[in-house]
Amino acid sequence: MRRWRALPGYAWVGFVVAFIYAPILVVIGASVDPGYRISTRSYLVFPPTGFSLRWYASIPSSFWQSLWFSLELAAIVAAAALLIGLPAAFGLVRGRFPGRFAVDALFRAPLQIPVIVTGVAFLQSFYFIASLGGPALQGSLAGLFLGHLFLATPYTIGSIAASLQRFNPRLEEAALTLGASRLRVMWRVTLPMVMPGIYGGLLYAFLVSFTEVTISVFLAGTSTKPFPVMIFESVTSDMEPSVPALSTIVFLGSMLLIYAMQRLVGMEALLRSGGNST
Amino acid sequence: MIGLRILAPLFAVLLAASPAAAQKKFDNVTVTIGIIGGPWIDRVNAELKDEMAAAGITMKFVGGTAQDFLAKLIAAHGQKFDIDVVEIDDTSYADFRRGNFLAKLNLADIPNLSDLDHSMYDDYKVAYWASEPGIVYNVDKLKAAGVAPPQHYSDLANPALAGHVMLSDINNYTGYYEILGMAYEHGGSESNPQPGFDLMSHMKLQSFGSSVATEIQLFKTGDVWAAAIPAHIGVRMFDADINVAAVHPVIDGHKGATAHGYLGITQNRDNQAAAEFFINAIIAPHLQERLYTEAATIPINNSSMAKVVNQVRVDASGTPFLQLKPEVVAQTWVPDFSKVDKRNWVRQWQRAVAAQPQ
Repeated sequence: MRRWRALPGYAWVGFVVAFIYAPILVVIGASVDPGYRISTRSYLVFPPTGFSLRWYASIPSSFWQSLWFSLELAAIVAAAALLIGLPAAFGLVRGRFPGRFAVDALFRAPLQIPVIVTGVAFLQSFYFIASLGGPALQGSLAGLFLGHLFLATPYTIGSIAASLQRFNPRLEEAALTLGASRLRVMWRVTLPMVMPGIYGGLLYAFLVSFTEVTISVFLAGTSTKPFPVMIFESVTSDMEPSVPALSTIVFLGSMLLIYAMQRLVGMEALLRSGGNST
Repeated sequence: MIGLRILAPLFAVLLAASPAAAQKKFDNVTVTIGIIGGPWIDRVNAELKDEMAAAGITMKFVGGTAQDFLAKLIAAHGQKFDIDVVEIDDTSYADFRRGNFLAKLNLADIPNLSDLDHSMYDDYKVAYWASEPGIVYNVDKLKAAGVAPPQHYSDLANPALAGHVMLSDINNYTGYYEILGMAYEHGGSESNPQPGFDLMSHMKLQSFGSSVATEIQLFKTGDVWAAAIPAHIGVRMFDADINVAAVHPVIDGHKGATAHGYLGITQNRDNQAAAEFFINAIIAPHLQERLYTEAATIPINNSSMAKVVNQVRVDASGTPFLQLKPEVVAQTWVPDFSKVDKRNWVRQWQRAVAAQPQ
């Protein structure tokens, strides 16, 4: 009887999951359609009319290079966002200084500015720096890194700050009472407790960078073209037929990454993003 | 000895004329080219890679529209820009010139211009593709709905087509043609587009097209039955097994319209000669014919037009998609964009979009 009562809930969850994954299923299905000759196949075919891996075999090397570049960029951005976000989150949650709320608002400002405005502003700033004899950041990895870091850092701060706010400071007090040094408390008590927030922040920063298009369109160069920009360009005019194939590979890679995180960290801990969850 | 004296200069002349000497035209120069991205770049790269490499030029590409490159140039604020050759369209050319973003071309270094009409180029730009903005419609869908094929832009406002019409976005050059088409049909003009916007605000549209891929997809799925898009996209749809036909509405007494894509060179280039070499290559007849075959864009030089007019693509009823006869093309309508107040147009566009019936 209890099982029957739970059925509508399961049905609803199933519907939501199907709704979320339906577009991905279309992309996966279209990626194995044999299709037409490359010059005329300009649309997705779903359901597939057959099964072929020809589009997987014909992914242009430039797409692979772009994908690898984006992975590297996102990893660097995530690491840098953590370096900035961790002390910033501590300062904002634990700090008692005048203007704390203003600083908090400042750190969140990148999320309130339209991304296209951010892109133009960065590009203008880079040209201005170059005009003063500084490095030419436009079209460079460094330029993209700065643009992505600007966007990703608020997410990292938010995630870590959420962990810290839920963290019970009495645990630290207990450790101090038992004779641990402040550094030891930080290393052995505080950081492990907020680790889900750190993992969450890293993941957010990585995803923000990996999927970012708008800023990248302005800041990308000929040899520094992130993967989403490559995809965007390839569907702006005609559809590059190997895009669904590559998208499927990226999707499966993401699933693998999430599975690995689940095994290594535990997604439930990450999702809870609270210090008392570990 | 005397023979050697005579032969040495002769050898020198022969060497200078050899392919090896041609390779030394440029000394490993890189030209960064900003044109429409995706498969269009792939086509251009595939066609010109060897020729450019033989001349000592390495091509690098940045994908984007004329509007994208204009935005980047404005952001660069007069500083040295990192793209040498940029895509320009009819609607953005005045802005490129007003910003003084374009270098004056050495037309003598682009010998293939001799095959182009003077209207195709000037001191700052050279046309490299053309299209015919008009209407493309799904023959089967309209037949099933009992709707007569549209003949005018205003026919897209037919209530029987409500929810199945796509207009081009105003960020796309075609967006200006459809508004002007509707405006002219109701007494408006370039300087008075309001009748066009008024009609648009009463149309229940399926979407605004901004990419060929989306347009073809929406026709294929049957969501869109008719759209204000260039006729050459109809050719690509037809190749993708969609039974479409194209219409070239009469605007201001002209049957059909013509739009051009141009290339210009940005200011202060060290490699302007190499950039001009690239422009010369892309307007060569054989390349223009290849682009017609592959992408159905209309060639811009006379000799290519003379050839492709015999290879005109037709729809299921045998009607040509494109108007290719030179005497017909010469009579097509080209808007006077100097009378178009773009900033005001965008505002009116946004108002018309907001006023759309739900």
